[in-house]
This record gives sequence, C-alpha cells and structure tokens, in this order.
Amino acid sequence: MPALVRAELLALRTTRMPWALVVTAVVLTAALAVDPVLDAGKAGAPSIGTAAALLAVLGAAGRGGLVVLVLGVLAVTAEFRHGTASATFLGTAQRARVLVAKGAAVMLVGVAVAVVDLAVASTVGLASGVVQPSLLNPDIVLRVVGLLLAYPLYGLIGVGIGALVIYQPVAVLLPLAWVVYLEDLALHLVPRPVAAWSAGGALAAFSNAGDVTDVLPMAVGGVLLVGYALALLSLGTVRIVRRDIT
Amino acid sequence: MTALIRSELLRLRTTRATWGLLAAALVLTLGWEAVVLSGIGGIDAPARGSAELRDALLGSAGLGLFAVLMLGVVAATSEFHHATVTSTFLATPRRGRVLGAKAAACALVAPPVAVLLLVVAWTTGVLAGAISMTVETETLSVVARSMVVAACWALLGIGVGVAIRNQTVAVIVPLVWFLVIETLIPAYGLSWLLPWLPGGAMTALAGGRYPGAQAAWVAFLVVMAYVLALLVPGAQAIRRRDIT
Repeated sequence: MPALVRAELLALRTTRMPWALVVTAVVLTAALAVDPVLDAGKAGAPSIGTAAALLAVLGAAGRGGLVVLVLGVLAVTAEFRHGTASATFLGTAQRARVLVAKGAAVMLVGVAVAVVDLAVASTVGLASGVVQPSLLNPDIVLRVVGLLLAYPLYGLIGVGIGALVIYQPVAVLLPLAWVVYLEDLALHLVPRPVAAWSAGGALAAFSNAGDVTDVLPMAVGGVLLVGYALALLSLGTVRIVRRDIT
Repeated sequence: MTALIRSELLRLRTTRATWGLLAAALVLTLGWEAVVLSGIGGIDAPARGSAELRDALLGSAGLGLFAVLMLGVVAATSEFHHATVTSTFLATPRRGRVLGAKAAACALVAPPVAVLLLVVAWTTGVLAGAISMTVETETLSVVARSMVVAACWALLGIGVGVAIRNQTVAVIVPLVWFLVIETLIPAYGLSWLLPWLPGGAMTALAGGRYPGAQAAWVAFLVVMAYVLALLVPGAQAIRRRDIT
C-alpha cells in the first residue's frame, strides 16, 4: 500500500473523531434495526417472518453510510481546522495525491464500517428471528450488497465535499441536511423523472430499492454514485490545488 | 452589559454566517411553501382559501426557524472556532457576562427574523392566490407565538453551543437529535416522553398538536429548563477553562 495511504490510515486510526464516528454508526444502526422489530405486529408495520421486516432490519445498515460521509469530510477539513495542512502539503507537494490518498483511506475505512454495521443489523435480525435464511433471495442479497458498497462511495463524496468547502461546520452540515431533508424538499419542486437522478435516487437504484418509484437500473445507479463522487473529488482537488495555504 | 450586548449585535450584523443563515431560513421557508402550494388540489391537501391552508403556509416559516437554532450555535461557538475568544475574554474578563450577552443578542435578533419569515410566507401565499389578504386575529396570534418560538430556538442553540463548544459537533448534534432521535422515540414505546423532550416541547410551543402535548406555557417552561440545564454547566466550564 502506498505510503501516503498508510499515513492517512494512521491519522484516522490515532485521532479521536473517527472512533467516535464508528461508535455513532454502530449505535445508529442498532437503533434503526431494533425499530422495525419493536414495531412488528402493529398496524401498518410488517410482521416478523416476512421479507418486508427482514428488509427493514437489514436496511438499517444503509444509514451508516452517512457517518462515513462525515468521516470523509473530516479527513480533509480537520487539516485546515488544526492548521496541519501546511505541514502535510510541505511533505507532499502534489496536493492532488494527498486528496487521492485521503479518498482511498476513507474508502477502506468505509468498507470496514459497512461490515461492522451489517454484523450489527444481522445480529439484531438473527436474535429477534426476523432474519431467517429461508427468506433470503437474490433481490435481498443485491439490496444488502448495494447498501454496503455505498459506504465507501459516500466516503469519497465526503472527501470531495470537504476539499470543496473546507470550512468544517458547513462542510459537515450541508451534505447531512441535504441527504436527510433538503433533497426531499427540492425534489418536490422538480418533475418526477429527475428525482431518479438525484443522490438519493442513485442510492436507491444502486441498493436495489423496491419501494421507490421511477428507480434506475442498479448498474446505472452505481455508475451515477461513482460519477457524483468523482465529480465532487475533482472539483475539490482543483480548488485545493490552487488555494493559498497558511 | 448593554455595551456587551451591543457589541454582540455588531458582531452578528457584520459576519457572513448570520446573513448566510438568514438566506438559508428564507430558502427553507420558501421551499416548504412551494411544496404546500404545489400540493393544493391533491388528496388530503387543504383547499384554497381555507384556514388550514393559511396555517400550513405560515407553518413553513417554522421550518426556516431551524436556521435560528443554528445561529445560536454558531454565535456561541465561533469565537472558540476562530480563537478570537482570547481577546474577547481579555477585554471582558467576566466570561459569564460575555455568554449572557451572546444569549441576549441572539434572543433579540430571533423574533424579527420570525416576523420577516412570516411576512414572506404570507405575502407569497397571497400572491399565489392561495389565501385572502385579510389579516385575521389567528394570523396575529401565530406571529406572536412564532416570535417566542424563535427566541427559544436561539437560546437552545446558545445552550448547545456553550455546552459543546466544538462547532462541528455542536452543529450536528441538534440535527441528529431533532431529525433522527426524536422521530425514533414513538417506535420505542416512549411517546409519553415526547412532551418533555426539547423537540416535542418546541412543537407544542409552536402550536403543533399531538397526543400528550403540553399547554404552551408548560412547553415554554420545559424549553427554558433545557436552556438552563445546557447553559449553566456549560458556562461554568468555560469560566474555569484555560483559554489559549
């Protein structure tokens, strides 16, 4: 593994924030996974033993990607917040390489967090009897695989946004608010088919969502997510490369 | 103390974040209003000219007030973020008074923002032909209520900011709390807890109805209790803290 990526992994491993975020991801996933179990049997909620309940519990692992996105944002913005960017860019004068290394490191961590989150959701599912091997089918497997592969892509998106915005509070708040709330608001105001091409639409397609209308094919969703990530990363790189660093 | 509050107001007036947040408040309000307006004529949507539609349109200003919460957080934390707090505390060594002035300044700024958002929401509704131009007493009571709600959001923001200090964390925590944690509460069978939580109390204070919602004045007291519970220990910690 290149030295730069290893250095970034070291930075992630030895600072407090990534660990706090991993704990957040686990707690969030556990809370979201327990939610459908407690709801099961009530009006409007799928019962235990149905594929819908299984999907709801395993789908809880889908929100943790946001935490990896925040991790990506922090990986870049923390260097500016703490003023370590000067030393980093003096050590590696080609700034684009630093950003690529950060992207690679965050993607690796993203895969690890995805595996942990899946383990948490599966544990809740197996313990409650919601996850039964007989219920698994290729569609469900594709959904879980898509949700988990979205983690590293979200991380890459985070690195791109962090490089683009730099001011840490804004860079963290904007994407979160967008994913959780603003995108829904914005999509009310545009024609229906456009929604399929949004960040949320791309994730729905890539994660084989069955409960969304106007969803793109899975492969297109994946390409779209990768495209968004690369576009943001390129824009961010252009901005960082030309920036005065003090 | 008035000089301190005046300098905090000057700070609010002359920094970019304030105006950015005001713009965000307008965008949120108009965005939600557009959603309500585009829903007219749909299933379950309030009819043109109805009191429900008026309430729904004016309610879009309530969404914009989330930016006021952020204003409180930013006002409390940005001096730590930019390390200007050293010179501020050198000029005014009684740190508690500085924090008090910040809270007062934000609480003063918030009500006019609420009025502005309501005027924008109401005007847009009238221009869109969705509500009539007459101002009813209910509309005025919504205005009065929103001014209190806005001041409470600002104070909650100050409380969160003072308690957490790290701006990034302080900005995320309310978002996660109000949009994720409090929405998960009913699923865990804890709905009885909702009227006593900050989000539930703010909803009741803003006139929202849900099972178990408190009367407005009780909700106000609940919110104030949260503000004090955040602000007092936070201020205590800041007073004793090394500032570099």
